[in-house]
Amino acid sequence: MPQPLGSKDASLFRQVVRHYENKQHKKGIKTADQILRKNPKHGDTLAMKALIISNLGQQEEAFAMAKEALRYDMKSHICWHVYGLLYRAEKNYEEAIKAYRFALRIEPESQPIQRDLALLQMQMRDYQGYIQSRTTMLQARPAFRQNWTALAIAHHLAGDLEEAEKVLTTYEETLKSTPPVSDMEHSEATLYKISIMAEAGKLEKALEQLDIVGHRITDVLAVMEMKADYLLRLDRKAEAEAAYTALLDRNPENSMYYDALIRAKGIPDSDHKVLKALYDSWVEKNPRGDAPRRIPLDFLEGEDFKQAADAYLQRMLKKGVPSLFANIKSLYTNTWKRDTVQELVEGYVSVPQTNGSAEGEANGDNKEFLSSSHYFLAQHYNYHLSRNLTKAMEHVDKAIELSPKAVEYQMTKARIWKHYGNLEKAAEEMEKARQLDEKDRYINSKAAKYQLRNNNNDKALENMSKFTRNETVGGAMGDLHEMQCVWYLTEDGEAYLRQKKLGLALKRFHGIYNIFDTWQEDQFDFHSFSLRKGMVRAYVDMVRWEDRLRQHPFYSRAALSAIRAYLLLHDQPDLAHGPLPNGVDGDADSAERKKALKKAKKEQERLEKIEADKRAARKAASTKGGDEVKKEDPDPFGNKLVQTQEPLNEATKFLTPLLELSPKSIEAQNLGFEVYLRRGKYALALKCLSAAHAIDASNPTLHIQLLRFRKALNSLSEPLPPQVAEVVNAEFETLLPKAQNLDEWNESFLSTHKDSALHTQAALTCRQLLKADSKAQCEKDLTATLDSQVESIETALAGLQLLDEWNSDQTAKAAYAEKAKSKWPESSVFQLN
Amino acid sequence: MSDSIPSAHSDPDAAEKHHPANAEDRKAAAALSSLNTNEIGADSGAKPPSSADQEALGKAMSRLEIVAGQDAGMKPTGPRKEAEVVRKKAVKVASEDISLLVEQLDLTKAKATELLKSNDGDAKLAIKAFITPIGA
Repeated sequence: MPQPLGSKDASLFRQVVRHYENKQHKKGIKTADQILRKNPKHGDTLAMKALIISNLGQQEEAFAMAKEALRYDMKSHICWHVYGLLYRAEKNYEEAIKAYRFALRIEPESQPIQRDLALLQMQMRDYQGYIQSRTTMLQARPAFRQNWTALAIAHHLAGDLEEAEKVLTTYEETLKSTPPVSDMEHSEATLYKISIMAEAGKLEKALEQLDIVGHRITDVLAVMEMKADYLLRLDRKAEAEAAYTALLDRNPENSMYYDALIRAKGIPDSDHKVLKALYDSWVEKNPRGDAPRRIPLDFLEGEDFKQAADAYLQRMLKKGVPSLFANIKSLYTNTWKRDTVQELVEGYVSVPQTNGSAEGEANGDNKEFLSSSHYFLAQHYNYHLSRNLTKAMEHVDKAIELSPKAVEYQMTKARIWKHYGNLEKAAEEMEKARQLDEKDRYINSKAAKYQLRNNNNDKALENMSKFTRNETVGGAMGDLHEMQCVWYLTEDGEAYLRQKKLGLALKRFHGIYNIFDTWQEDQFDFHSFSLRKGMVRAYVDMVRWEDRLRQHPFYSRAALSAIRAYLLLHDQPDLAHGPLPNGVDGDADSAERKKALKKAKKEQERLEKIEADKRAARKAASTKGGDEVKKEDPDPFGNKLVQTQEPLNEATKFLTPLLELSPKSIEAQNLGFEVYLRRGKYALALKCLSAAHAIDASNPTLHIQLLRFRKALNSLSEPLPPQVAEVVNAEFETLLPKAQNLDEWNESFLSTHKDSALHTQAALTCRQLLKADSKAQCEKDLTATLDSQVESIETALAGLQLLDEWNSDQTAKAAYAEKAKSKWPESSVFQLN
Repeated sequence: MSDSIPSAHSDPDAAEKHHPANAEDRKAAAALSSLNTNEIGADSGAKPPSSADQEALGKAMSRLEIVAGQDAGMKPTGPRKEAEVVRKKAVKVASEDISLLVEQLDLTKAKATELLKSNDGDAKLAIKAFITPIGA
């Protein structure tokens, strides 16, 4: 029931609302209390008070109060609106939508409620609901163009291109005169309509429109690009050629324009002469350009390639362009081109300095040419397709000798050490590079990254703190979170994961997860902002990008690591108390184990205490200064995260978006299997197996997992529900038939892939699973893979980890590590910890 | 769930009768409308159209409604709608099948129901369809 107030209180209520608007929260609460003293059951006032309290950060109390308000006055749209706003603040959008709908039912004409509902529907991608809301809003205020555009967007995103176009056209027809050129909203809406036509496949019509209105549109480049694109797709080649030539005149560095121009001209890919001539003509027009010089290297062959490459390399090396190698290395998939480049640059450095290629030029230039050539070769021999670390080191030393101050030369030296497998030395060398230019943020970040690779988290943070705002709550680490420095959080988390400090590792991965949540959340404001500004094309692009936000490699990487951490935690719950010294986490006797556990717990407590002291000190220091105290993280070490009772459910939280948005990642499927198998979700585990099989049927991890799944099915503790059992058995039959002799199956896998180390490792794991007594032999065979098959340090390390998984004894591990160490004498990674 | 909530989009004529009960409410509503002015989401910055004639707009509105109304009346447009009609062919779904799918496939209840319905209510078919990789 509506609860009328006396006129004095009613004016007080208006004051409350005004105070809220002006963010005078304390005054607002005071005034509200004044009303409530006389009318303790006044729902609207109580609701407003709840809203103010929630803005002060006391969510729980606010909710309790809003519920009470609703109890007093179920029929008040204000109460329902506030209830919705509170849910919105909590990001519980579904409940918020429900509350708004109730409010709207009571007050169907309320613009603000309708608007808030529409924004939420968009955020939740409830397109049908959004269309409805937008139609209502348009009916209420048809005079605003943005209401029309918004309805068009609603139809467009819901997939109804016809309707979207119709809405925009209907509005355009009401315009009596053409809006001035300065009307950005008109310009953008027109382009938007044309792009919808093109999306619907009506290219002719879109092109026609472009020709009529194009000259009045502000975004000239977009008009040109759209026109060129439509012409080419309509096969109107002569016009398309002209359009792309015009585009290249604007920007001769865009390789996509060249590709399109070549298609418009109808030049076949094989006609290298004509192609080269085309690019040469652009070089002539733009002598300082790079693209028309670089692109021909992609298609040229034989002597032509050699000549072009020679000219290109010499030109860039003389200028001393540091990014040259990054620009060239994509050619290396062609081995002949790789060797030719090597031969050419080796030639440059072997020419005696006095009569070098740059005749008559000053000696200084020649020196620069020589040092950048050595630098190029260092990168060349450091690259995985052309690796020869000894030579790389020689060249980089020569380059450094010639110009000892060059940061990037020193940086490459560190990278070479990394590839030697000596992370400690690599971090050291990178630190030297950093000291060459302490003001350079890039090299500072690099140095921090190398320290993290060397598991030196504290040192890395110290470096990072040179460029962060350290007065932020949480210090440098707090600022890195606030600035959403995802790469650092990922590397930091992975370093902790390697050290089995799972709490901190999970803390970082959750940090990244939250950053992605923030990005999802960030779009909210744009649902109205973009409309108001009229930038609708960019807005639609953004909405579509948000829909596949977690496809980003940053997310995949963090999620994979988080899942690994949770699996580790599930398999070894003791790790919740920090890393245990090695040899203990195996099947060592229990007394020793308990002792180690106790020690780990003590260490954990000690660290917590230090942090608590620090926090207290900070608080004492800052009591005077800031009145707006930001919340401290109550769990800076992730101890709460690591003490979860359900690590697998937590892992699933990371896994679901990963499988949904990156189903083609075999790593994701592999880990998905591990999670689902442990959770006893056999159908889902099989789904991962099938998906992995479709991506790469001979994947080594998949091979092991197939066997483990067969074994798991054979020894279920309780039978699966009949429908599940039937489907799973039938489907799995195609992957690994039940009647198959597993030994034979495994041995045939081994002999098919006997040259690949990773596959051999997988087959040996399986053999060991099939016949426990073959373990000793398997260990020997695994060590023997170091003789020939294993080519990279990473694979060798994987072998060492395998011995861990097999629970092999120290002697077997030591034998393996020693052999690996003798194969890579410079490395530091083969240590038994 | 949402069935108890009537459509937010009610007939504008009917809405006329639902005026706010008293002046206070109206004022509060007006004040509430600016609740979010601190965000960039507010409408306040928009300026009324310069060259659009109110009358023309009114006509355009009615045209749009007529067209939309005709469309809806003549043909249930769009493949989505048709698909919905097909699915709604009263597939009977057993509740124990739904809970089986929720349990075994980590689905929400709504999704499990949908999956079952699109597989003729057959749990086995549904599971099979769900675990077959796309494009395989």
